[in-house]
Amino acid sequence: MKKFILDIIKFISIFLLLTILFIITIEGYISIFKNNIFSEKNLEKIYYSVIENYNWLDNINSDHKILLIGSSSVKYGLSCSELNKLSNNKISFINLSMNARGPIEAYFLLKNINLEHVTNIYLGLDPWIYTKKYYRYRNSYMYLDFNFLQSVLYFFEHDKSTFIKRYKALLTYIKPFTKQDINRKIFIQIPDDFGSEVLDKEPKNFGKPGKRVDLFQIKEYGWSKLQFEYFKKIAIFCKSKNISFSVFLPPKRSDYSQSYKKNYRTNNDEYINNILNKNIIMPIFGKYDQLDNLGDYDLFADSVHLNKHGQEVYSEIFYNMINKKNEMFNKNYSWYQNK
Amino acid sequence: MLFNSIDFAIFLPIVFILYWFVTNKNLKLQNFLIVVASYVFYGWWDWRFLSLILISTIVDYSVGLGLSKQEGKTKRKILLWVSIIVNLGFLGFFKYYNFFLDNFITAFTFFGMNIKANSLNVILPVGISFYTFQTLSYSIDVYKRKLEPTKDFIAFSAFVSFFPQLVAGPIERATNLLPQFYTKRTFDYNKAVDGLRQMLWGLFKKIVIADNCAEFANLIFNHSKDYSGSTLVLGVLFFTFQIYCDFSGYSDIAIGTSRLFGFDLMRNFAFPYFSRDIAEFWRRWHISLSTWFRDYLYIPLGGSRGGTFKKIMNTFIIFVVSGFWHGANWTFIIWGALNAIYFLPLLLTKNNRQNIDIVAKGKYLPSFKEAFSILLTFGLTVFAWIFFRAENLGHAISIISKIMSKSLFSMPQFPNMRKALITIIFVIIFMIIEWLGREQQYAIANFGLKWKRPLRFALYYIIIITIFCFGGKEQEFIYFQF
Repeated sequence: MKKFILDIIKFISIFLLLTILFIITIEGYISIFKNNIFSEKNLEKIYYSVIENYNWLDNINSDHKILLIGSSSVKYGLSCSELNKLSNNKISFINLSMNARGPIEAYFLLKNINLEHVTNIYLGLDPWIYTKKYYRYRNSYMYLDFNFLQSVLYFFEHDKSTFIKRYKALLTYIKPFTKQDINRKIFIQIPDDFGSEVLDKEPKNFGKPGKRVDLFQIKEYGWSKLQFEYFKKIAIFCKSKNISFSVFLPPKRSDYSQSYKKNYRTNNDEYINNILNKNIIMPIFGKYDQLDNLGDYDLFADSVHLNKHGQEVYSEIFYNMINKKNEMFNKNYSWYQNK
Repeated sequence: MLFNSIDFAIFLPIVFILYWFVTNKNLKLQNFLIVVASYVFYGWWDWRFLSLILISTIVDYSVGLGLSKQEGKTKRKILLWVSIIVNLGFLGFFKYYNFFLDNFITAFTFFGMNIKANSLNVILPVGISFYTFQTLSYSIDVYKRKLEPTKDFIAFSAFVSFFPQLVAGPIERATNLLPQFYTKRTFDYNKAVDGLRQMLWGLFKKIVIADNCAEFANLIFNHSKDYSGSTLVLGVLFFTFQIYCDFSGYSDIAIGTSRLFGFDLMRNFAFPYFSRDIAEFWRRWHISLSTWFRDYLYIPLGGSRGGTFKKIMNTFIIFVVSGFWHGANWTFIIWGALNAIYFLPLLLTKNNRQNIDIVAKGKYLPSFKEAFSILLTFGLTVFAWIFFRAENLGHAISIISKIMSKSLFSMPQFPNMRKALITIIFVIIFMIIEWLGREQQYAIANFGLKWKRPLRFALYYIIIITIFCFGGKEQEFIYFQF
């Protein structure tokens, strides 16, 4: 037994020693080369392959295209077929949103697809998408944006593979990349609802039971400056392409929006400041509690995602908003402060 | 608690230290520690279902004691049926209730009778198919007087809930495992080191091979309508290695962990993909389940004795029941039936035991005939996995028809092909190691044993680093759902 324990200790000690040396070297490397790691060129390397999923875009023949981008609230919140129908099929709405998709990924997607005949881009804003806490839902390359202590905390709080992912991401950084690696032969068939999807889920009450979860954890991990930076890049990019860029707030279920108002006011103010600091002028419309008066429980699959019926209802509201029929554009981003 | 989790990495050393340093003087205390540790291990997932294990333990323990006091045939039979009804009752309710309900409704609707019944939103308790079969084996063996019933409730509880094999086997026989709880365990250095090595190999199989293959198997199966026949073939192959490495990896970790505590569990996999016929495959795949069905179902039914019709019927029963054991879905039943069809010609021509030895024993390469037989058996197995993995029969048929189409001859196309290529390279390396180590209990059992310690340590470090660096996205063990 003694021999076994000693051997185990020896084996682990050597491994730990090597691991510590490795960590010191790698962490040093990350902090020295952080700017280069997150250069546009390197980030593009990470996110370029996303376009593989959109080979079907080239098969849409239309002189008037409108793109919807954002995260799951946009993907499940708007139906392109419904919007096309409302426009009497004069416009082709295309939904490029995806679960947890943030501005960085959206930017590289927009940058690398054919934008011919695209007149407008509407981006759905969900503040938590701009937090570092949300990095676990993104490409693990983003883990390199944490500092060492944040990584340690994240390891204990959210993801036990934080360090493995963080260091593996460096391999991607080193790996050569060419745009030819992209497979152009897959996903060529236009999806049924042009990228929109219906969320079938059992409705659940929000925030019950259990303790309240901090959506943002800004004190611990902070905002993702990169996401804000790429939000700005999207706006500038659209301007350079003569595409009108607007943002909107996808609706949330009333229990959620009330909880948000109550618990995340400070976070929301910080978030708005970050958005406004980018000196971009763009129309913003919609609000989280937009559907409260419509018996919103019937419209949601869960607290933040619309169901099929909700998708139909909101698509019509959205269509009216973008045509300014209801004068729903907000004057500022603090959608709840004037209530 | 998953074997490939930090929780387990902390749990295992704590239990190990308590086991060998605190409770080692008292066998009962040591067994009690195993029970507590096993309940913690299981309760980590969902403590509510511990009650099922406890009930199963109490029922079979009492049935065993009852059987020891009863000599009357009828009363003994009643006691055995109590055990069967309770254990299979749990299994039937949690696993098969909705399946039978849905099929009854479909059948009645087919005959024009519309009936309404609500399906239940029940969670399948992890490992229920494993521990119910294990406890059943005890009651049956005691009933058949192959085993003396135990009076030691702690030892019996430890046998039922022994954490290394509680949730995904190997399904131990009471005759093998239970007596090990009666005798004092002494620490064996070589056994413990070998256990650690087997655990490491199991982790490699699970994390590097199975989890990486899973990523592509899931992608291709979940979007099968978007892919060509050739891509689907690749998807099925990914699944073929996923399921093998996932499950045999789990078994390796389970067996290795047990060895750390001085226990010997039965072997569950013996390089099944090198089998030369289906009969050999089933002697090498999920051995603990195949032998369970053989001993407690096939032989009582008459086995291969009797007329041709009886042989065919018994073969179908055992394979279909084995398929159904895996899940409440017609896909598993068809998978079982398909294997019965593969097996029958061998049985009827009395060739089912022609390949007992290890293939190409003592040689580096198989003969041409052996290689051909291995490839043919592998192909048949891969085809059957389509049913096993498909969501439903329609899905399986659509995949097969696409594979049979012209698109089979196109280049496979799917996202992230570079990563897929790395995974394929790993699978090839893995299969070479498996081939070279096929005469051992597990592939690396003797690998590097004669090397000097620094070199051996380096080999293990390389495996550990490969696990960390090339591990796929964490996936739950497939067999947890069975």
